[in-house]
Amino acid sequence: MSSSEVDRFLSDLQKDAGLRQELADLGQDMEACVQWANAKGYSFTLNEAHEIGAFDSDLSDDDLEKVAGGWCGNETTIG
Amino acid sequence: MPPTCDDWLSFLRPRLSEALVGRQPFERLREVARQIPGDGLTALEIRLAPDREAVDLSIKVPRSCGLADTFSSRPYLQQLLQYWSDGDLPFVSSLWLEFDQARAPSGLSDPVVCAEVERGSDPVRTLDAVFPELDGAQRARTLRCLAEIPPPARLLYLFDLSARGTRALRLEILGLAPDAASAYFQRVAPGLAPAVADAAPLLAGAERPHLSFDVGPEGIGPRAGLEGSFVKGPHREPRWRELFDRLVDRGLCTPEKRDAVFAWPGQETFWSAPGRWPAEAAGTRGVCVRALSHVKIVARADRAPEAKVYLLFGWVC
Repeated sequence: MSSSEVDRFLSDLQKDAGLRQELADLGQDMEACVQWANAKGYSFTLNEAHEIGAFDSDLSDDDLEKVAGGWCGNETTIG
Repeated sequence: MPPTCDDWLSFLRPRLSEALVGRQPFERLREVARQIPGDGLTALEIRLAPDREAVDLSIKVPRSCGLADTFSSRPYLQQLLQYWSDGDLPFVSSLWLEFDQARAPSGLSDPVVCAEVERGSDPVRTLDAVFPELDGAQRARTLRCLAEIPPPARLLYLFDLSARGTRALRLEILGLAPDAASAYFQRVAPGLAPAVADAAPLLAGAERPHLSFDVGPEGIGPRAGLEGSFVKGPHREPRWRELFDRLVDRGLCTPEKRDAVFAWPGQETFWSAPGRWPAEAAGTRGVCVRALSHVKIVARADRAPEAKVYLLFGWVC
């Protein structure tokens, strides 16, 4: 149930620029985001959203550096 | 509709200083980017000298990108992209297309094609796969250049430059340190060796050195490209800053461009930028990554060196 609620929330965010702007005005506090979503009529918790990977998080420095090495033959280094 | 490269370029505009990409070049980039899928890695090639505004755009071609249809009026390129898409381009581990802004005032120009030689494969087989109709003398000259590469250095990329109106092909070698690069040129193109020796100290200490030059029907071309980068990003590797300071000291990079380059790397998700994220095309998933790839010094016997930086961006899901 809550997984489908998260999906409904994400789907509505994808379609609705007004909803995205309201979210932008909240800042980057994910707990506040979930509270806001629940006040809008969606029903899920922060843990439930995390469990299905709804909130993508930043890559590590190592992963970023793999992307940065995408042109440079990143398997090979010297020096 | 899936996101286009332009969706990401527009999203990233606030992160891309006008010192690096002015308004007019940016609009030109967008014209190209609108016609390119947004699920691959993209590189911006930026000249670092003052008053050098043109910016070129390259993409790492995803396997299933539908780009072959985009080039239906260019049969050779269409076929190559179809082979790539079908997995029928042997010994090639990645394919890049470079769109030169200076060469095409509008629209989608014919791109330079760049094929990455599969690690561990025989580079001659890749050469023959990418250039099946290479002139005999040019092929022999290319083979001689390949045979002179001292291990563990190896051929990394092969470029088809026909979009630039030349029959020359470009070889890019990975792993030749600056002193080895000078010695290499003494063997294969002695006329270029002094210019390479002059430019090499600018990249002193750089990891992952690349060396590129052109092999034409008549001989080796008049320019060499020396590239360098560091494995770690600029916030963890102070030698990036030292490299750029050397470029500024030599007058090859403005201080404004140097500072703008260091402001580029980073990442964003939908959740960090919901108001700007191209959600209607990309949904809410993934990370948009911005990275500093490498610096290139173009050395020529008849003029001062030129410096360029390559900034990457891509949507990682």
